[in-house]
This record gives sequence, structure tokens and C-alpha cells, in this order.
Amino acid sequence: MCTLDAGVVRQLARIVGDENISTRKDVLLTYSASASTGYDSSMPEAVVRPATTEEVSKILKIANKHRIIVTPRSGGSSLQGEVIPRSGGLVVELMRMNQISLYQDLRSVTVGAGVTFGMLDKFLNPFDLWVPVYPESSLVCTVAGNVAVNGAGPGSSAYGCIAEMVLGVEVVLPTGEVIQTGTEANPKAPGPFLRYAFGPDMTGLFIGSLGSLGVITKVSLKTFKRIRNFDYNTYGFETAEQAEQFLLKLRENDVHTLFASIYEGRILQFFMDMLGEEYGIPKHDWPPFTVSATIGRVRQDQLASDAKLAREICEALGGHVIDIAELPVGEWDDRMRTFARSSYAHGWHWRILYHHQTPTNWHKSVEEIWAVMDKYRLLGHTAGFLTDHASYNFYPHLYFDPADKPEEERVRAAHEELSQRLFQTGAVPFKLAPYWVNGVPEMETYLALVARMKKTLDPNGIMNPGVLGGI
Amino acid sequence: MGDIDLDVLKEELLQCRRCGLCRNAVYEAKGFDGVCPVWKNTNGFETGFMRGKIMVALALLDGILEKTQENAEALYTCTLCGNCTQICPAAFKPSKAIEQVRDVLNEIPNEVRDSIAEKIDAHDNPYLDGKSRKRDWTEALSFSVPTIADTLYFAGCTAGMKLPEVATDSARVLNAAGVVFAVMEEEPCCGSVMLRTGKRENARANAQRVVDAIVKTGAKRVVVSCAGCLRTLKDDYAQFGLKLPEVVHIVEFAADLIKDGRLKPKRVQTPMKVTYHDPCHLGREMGVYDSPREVLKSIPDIELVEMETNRATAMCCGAGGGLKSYSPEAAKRIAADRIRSAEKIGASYIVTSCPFCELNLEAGSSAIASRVDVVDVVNLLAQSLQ
Amino acid sequence: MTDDLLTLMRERIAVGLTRQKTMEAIQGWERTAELSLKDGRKYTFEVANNTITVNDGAAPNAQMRIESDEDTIRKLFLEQMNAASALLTRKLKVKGSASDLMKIRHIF
Repeated sequence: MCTLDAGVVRQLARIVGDENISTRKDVLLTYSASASTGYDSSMPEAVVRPATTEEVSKILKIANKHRIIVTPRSGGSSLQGEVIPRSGGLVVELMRMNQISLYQDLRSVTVGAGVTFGMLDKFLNPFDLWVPVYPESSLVCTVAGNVAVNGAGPGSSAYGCIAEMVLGVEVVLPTGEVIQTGTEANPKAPGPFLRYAFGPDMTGLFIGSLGSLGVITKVSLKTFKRIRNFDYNTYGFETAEQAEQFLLKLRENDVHTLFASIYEGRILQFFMDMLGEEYGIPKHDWPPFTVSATIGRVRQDQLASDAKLAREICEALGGHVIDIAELPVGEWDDRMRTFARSSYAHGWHWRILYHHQTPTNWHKSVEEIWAVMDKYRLLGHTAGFLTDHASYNFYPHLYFDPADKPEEERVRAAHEELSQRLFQTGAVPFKLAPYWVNGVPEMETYLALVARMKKTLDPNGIMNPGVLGGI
Repeated sequence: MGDIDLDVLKEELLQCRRCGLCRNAVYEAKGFDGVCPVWKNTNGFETGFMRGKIMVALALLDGILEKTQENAEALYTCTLCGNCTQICPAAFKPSKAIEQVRDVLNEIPNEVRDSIAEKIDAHDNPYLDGKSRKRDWTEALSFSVPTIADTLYFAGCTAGMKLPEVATDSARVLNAAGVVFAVMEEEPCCGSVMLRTGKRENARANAQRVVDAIVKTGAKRVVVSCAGCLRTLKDDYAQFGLKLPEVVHIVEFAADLIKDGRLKPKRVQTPMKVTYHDPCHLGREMGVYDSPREVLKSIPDIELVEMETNRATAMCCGAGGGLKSYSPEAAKRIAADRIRSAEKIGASYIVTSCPFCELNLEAGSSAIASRVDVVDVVNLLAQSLQ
Repeated sequence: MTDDLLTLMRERIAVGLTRQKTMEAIQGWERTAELSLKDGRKYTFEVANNTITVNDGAAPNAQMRIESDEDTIRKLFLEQMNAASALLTRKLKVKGSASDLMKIRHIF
């Protein structure tokens, strides 16, 4: 790879203007890391802030010509090292691209790469619309960034990961071409209304690509009529199996559960001791397994029917309805901040190991997480939520004291071991970090295909190399 | 306010896990429409908002970044407005931490910071060399003002020297309520800007002088017009272990006087559509949100409308934390942004209760040739009492 | 002062051992935890044989390490504060496994 020299910097400055490029050490330092604690930082050589797709295209053409490694970045809230740049590389920060266009008759909206979920939510609210998937970092993370990692959050229990909302993307390829997927590949289309247009799912190629196949500059999403009727409740179970079956049966019976989580009693009790009072959650002797669930429907009659059915399903499985609503109320009503609060209210730094597990294997993930925490003498948690058709999105944390380097090293080792153990349980990574597939022979053919696609789109290997499974 | 413990400060700074909520969170349900005025109105790099500033602070403290003026720039390009502290999900106060970092790292050269402190030390004001003439505004009053009384009106440097109509109108309001008040012959500076810009030792010495001067007046109550003076005299001095009589902002006092029937506002003129800008020191820091609004609502024919961000989530005017001196262009752009918020809701006036906010909002309004006028609550109140 | 705190901790442990939740938590559990106070004092807690004992002195091979200050420890033992709140406000730092931390909350 080549160094980003002064001549290249001048070329980039001519594209974006002097005020939108920096090579200052203090500025570069702030791009050397992200919200990913427990990862080594790395200083880029320059950071550039384009305002338009055209500027991004020109930037990538230059980077490709000079073989400069590029790390695209928007909100900077990713948690598994996705936007930590390479030493000497170029960070392309996209927060200036903050346009929103609504297509009411197409039931869709298109957002620039710098639009956060909070911004989008506020924009859509007066139209009585929403995009019903809210990453837990909604106030910081951008739609484009979340699509690049295929995120999920409250809302996903009914609507799936953000991928399910995407109708198309505008992407600048590493070689600088601008590609539009979905219906907007037809410039005469009225806008985004169908994802599967013009052959294979090219949109899907870029979802979850972690910025390694191109820079997503726009995302088009489905919009829905905003739900304003909710039922909040907690359901207690004696066994993990009952709780797992409860989640499955909610999905099978079309109970429109926007957000549901299983909590182990001891972890829930601990977090309630810490934050329960802040969220007005009454003290309770929580059972071995609690499901906290928010059901939402457009119509009140649908909601009443769903809420009744949820209770019946719970009781039929041998559980009991706890009737403490404050926990799911806090999870749902404050969904744009509550998870950040519970992740940062305590003083630990942490590494997260996002993964998907099928609900009936929920207990397997929990067992492995506890086993690793105990083996490495670490603290952490086993949180997650129901998502998509039949999946459970885990986001366990492994905690460390930032002033304790040996403890941080243990977390890194534990993190890697946990991914390998989880792979053996049949779990799949939320984001394809290298340690999931290192030395896993069953994945070789799959990874070879990913490598071929990467080589085709990024012949000079400039786009965030290594972020996608080490490729 | 004991000495800053560096280990504790670093532990506080490490509470930042770089989540980024402090940048531009739009959280409609909680009243946030953006967080950081500096990020929004400057070049928008990570150094523009608190996450980046804390990274810089830690790097400077750990010796990863050399202690130069350029490297410390991010630390001073901040109004310490505290909006980030409001939304931060971690258990520490980011804006307070940066204020402390400024002090711990005050060996890094900063001409603006040092010249302001020198002026205050030598001349009791941050604006001019030479005698401050901070009592001159009393000559415009139709009544005389003693130097000793149970109530002391502490005009502050900005009202006393730059916006004398705030001081004269505050005096008229007090007079109208029959409050006998004094103004010091030589009013010292509260020293707020020294505290915010990392000159704590100077601020502490100055604070003792201020307390001695106020105590000498025998006053049982101190009334201020400036949000910065209020916070400093009431909150920061207490942390220094210094005791003052009751300190109250004129808008709080006036609200009580109106409730007690000692002030009876009348119509000002034709109906006015106004919006109230919450000064950071008065609102977020001291929790005073209702009194100024009560005063405005008590004046007939004033229609009060709220800007998109108000009260605890009000966007800063851009003046504070030393920014107005350190980076006047940035301060002006931030103020212009705030003026646009007032324009957006159709207000003809943006009303506030801090002369320093007013000064900067006026600069912002001029910069964009806005029709929104900037006035103080006391200006309208005094008018309504004529 | 040393005897004061040690005496308090022993008294409160004795009270705790009459509670079902505490007994359930320590049933069959063997652990050594070292408590370090900011003023330099150290105490060793031994959980074994379904009881808890505390003595002053360090425990170099402890499986759990707890860091705090005297005021917080007093409040915890007097149940004026719970472990989770102390952790939240960083008045209590715990190093050890998550399973152990879960048990600790039944003891504090």
C-alpha cells in the first residue's frame, strides 16, 4: 500500500475544500478509535469529510489509483472495531451527507449516509410514519452504518434486522463507480419501491459488508404506519425451555411483539439493583427466567387480541404473567437511550460479541458465555433480544477495567474463545469478524467465495481490508 | 472545591466509552435536537464535540499528544454548555471534566485565557485595561443608588460595561418594587471566566476578594443580572468553601415580587411574540427555568413561544466557556444558529436573562441580518412597569 | 478503627448467615476474596464450610479482589447501600468471575 502523501492530500482538498480535510495529529487521533473499547487504536494519515456522492466517488478514484487504504465511517458507534483505520490510511467520514427524501406513495424514504436513526425518526413522525427498527445506538449511529453491519434493536423482534427494511442502496465502489440497487437502478423509476429488481439481490451484497465492498452513500428503506398502541408486560418462567418456547410461540401465532428479551433471574436482579429505581421498576423477586415484551399494533382491537393471546401462551407453557410493565416500558419508550445507559452507567469498558442464536438454543449461548466468564474470571452479561423469523440477537458484554491491562488482555482472549465456542453451538456472527472463522475448515469454501467477490469489486484491496472475516 | 485529583479526573475521563451520543443526538421525545453547538457550527471533525475532546484530553494527559497550543485547541473550542452532560449515559459530567482538564493543563500556552485573567486580576474586569467604571450606568437612573444596603445589586462586568441597559432596567425593576439596593463603588469581577478557562488558582484568589468586598457591604442578599455571576457566586464559591449571603438572579427575584403583588406589569406596546433562550449557567447549571417564563407571561400582550430546544436541552448561545474570546467566529456562528431557531417559530424577539448571551446573540443576529431582536427579560419588565 | 471495621463486618456477617438467601448463595461454595481499602488496609474473606469468616491481612491468592473505601464498606454491611449501587457509582470495584459477583450481591 502507498502512503498518503502531501500531493494526494492536495488532490483530496481540491475535492472537498480545505476545511473538510485534516492531517492534524489531534484530529487524526480522534479518528484512530471508535466506540469499540478493548480494541487497539490506529492513526490514519488523513480524514476527509465529503458532502456528496460525487465527492466520495472522486475520493475513491484517487485512493484506488494510489492504493491508499480507505476506512469509511459515519456515526463511529460500531462496537467490534469496524471503523478503526489502518495506520497511514484515509478515513472517509460521511456525516455531512444528511439529506432525507420521503416517497409517501411508494411507502419509502431515502437517507444520506450521515442520517442517524434519531434524525430519521423525527422526520417521519409528523407523517405518522416510522422505520420500525431502532438500533440501541439510534441517537448516534447512522442508517447507512447500521446497514453496513446489518444491525438490529427494538422493533426487530417483529420486523427483523435492518436488512429487512432496506429497498436499495447507493454505493460507491472501491474503483469509484456509483451503483444504485433496487428499483432506482432504473433512473426513470419514481423512487425506491422494490428491492429485488434487475436480477440478484445486489442490495444484499452490501448489507453487512462492513465497508469492505464499497461506501454506502444512501439507503432507501420501507416506511410503515407508525404504531401507537402498545402492551407491555413481563412473563416469568422456571426453565429456559419455557421462556424459549414462549418466544417461538409469540412469533408463530403472529403476536406482534416489537421487542422481547429473556433475562436470567440473577442478571436481571443485578441490573435492577443498579438501575431499577432510575426507571421506576418496582422491586421484585424475579423468577429464574423473565421475558420482557412489548407488543405493538396499529389498531387497538389487534392489540387487545395479541395481549390476551400472549398471556394464554405464557400460562399454557407453565409460566406466570408478572404484570410489571415498567421494565418493557423503559426498554421500549426509551429505546433510543436506555441500552446505552445500562451499558455505560457502570464504569466498566467491555467487548461485545454480537451473535445470532435460534431461540430454542438460547440456553446454549448463555452456558458458553458464563463458562468463558468464569474461566477467565470476568464480569459481564448475557443480554439479547428476539429478532427476525426465528433468531435471537445476543449482545453479551465482557467487562474490563481500562486501567487493568492484564484484565483487558483476558477479555480479548475470552472474546476469541467465546466466538469459537458459540460457533460450535450453531450460532452465527452478527458481524463477520475474523476470529469467528479463523481455522474453521467448514467455512473455507464460503470465505473463498467472499474473497472472490471482494477481489472483483476491490481489485487493489483498498476498502477496509481485513474487516470482513479477515479478507 | 479542593485541588483537582488527577487520578480521579482520569478515571472520570475514562468513563467516556466513546458512544458518541454527545455529538448530534436528535431525541424528539426528550427534547434534544442536536447536542453540541460547536460540532454543529464548525468544521464537524470529531474534535468538535465532547467524545473527541475527551480523547484529546486523555492523550495530552498521558503524553501521547504533545502539549502544544494546536493540540489543545479542541479543549478550548467548547462552551462547556453541559448539553453533552445531559445526554451522556455514563456516570460522570463530561463538561465538568473538560473544565478541570483545562486547569490541570494550564501550562499549555493560551494567550486569550491568560490575558483575560490578567485583566481581571489587575482591573476587576475581563474587557478593558484601566479602571472598569462599572458604576457609570447608575448615572442614567432618575434616583440615586447607595453603596451600602441590605440588598446588593451586583451588575456584573457585561451589564456594567457592555450592556448598561440591563443594569439600568434591573435597577428600575428593583426600585419599582420598593427594594432599597446598593451598588458597590468598585465592583469586582466574579471571576467566572477564570474558572471556565482553567485559571482556578487565580479564580480562588479573586473569589476571596469578591467575598470580602460583598461582606463589607453588609448586604443580606445579592441580586445579579448575569447567569454566569449567579452560578459562580452561588455554586462555585460554595465549593471554594466561601460564604456569601443569599444570591439570587433578578428574574427569580422579580418572579417572586410579581407573585407578592409588589410588581404589577402593564401592557408594553402592541402584542409581541417572544421566545426565551435559557442561558446554560442559569438553566442547566442552576435549574432556573420557570421564573423567567413566569415573568414574561405576567406581562400582558406578550406571547411566549418556545424554540425547538429549550430548558434542559436548550442549545447554547455560543458565548460561554471562553469561546467568545477564544474563537469569536465560532461563537458568532453558534449564536446565528440559535437566532435561526427563533426565526423558525416566528418570534420577533429572543429574550434571555444573561447579558453575555445577549451580547453574543446580537452578534449572531447581525451576522445573518436577522429581524429577531435580542432583549433581556428585565428590559421588557422595566418597560411594562413604566 | 481497624478493630471497629473488622468487628462491624463480623457482626453483620453473623446476621447475614441467619438469612436463607445468604445460606443458599454460599452453600457448598469455596472462595477467598481480598478487600483492599483506599487507605491501604486489607482484609481477607473466606467462604468455606457454609460459613464466611473475615480477618485482616492480604490474600495474595484470592480468586476475587474487591476495592473500596471504609465509608462504602460500612454502608454496604449496614445495608444502607447495595452492591450494585456501589458498583454503579464506582465506590466498589470487583475483579473476579461473573458467577461470583452474582453470589456477592446476596452477601452484601
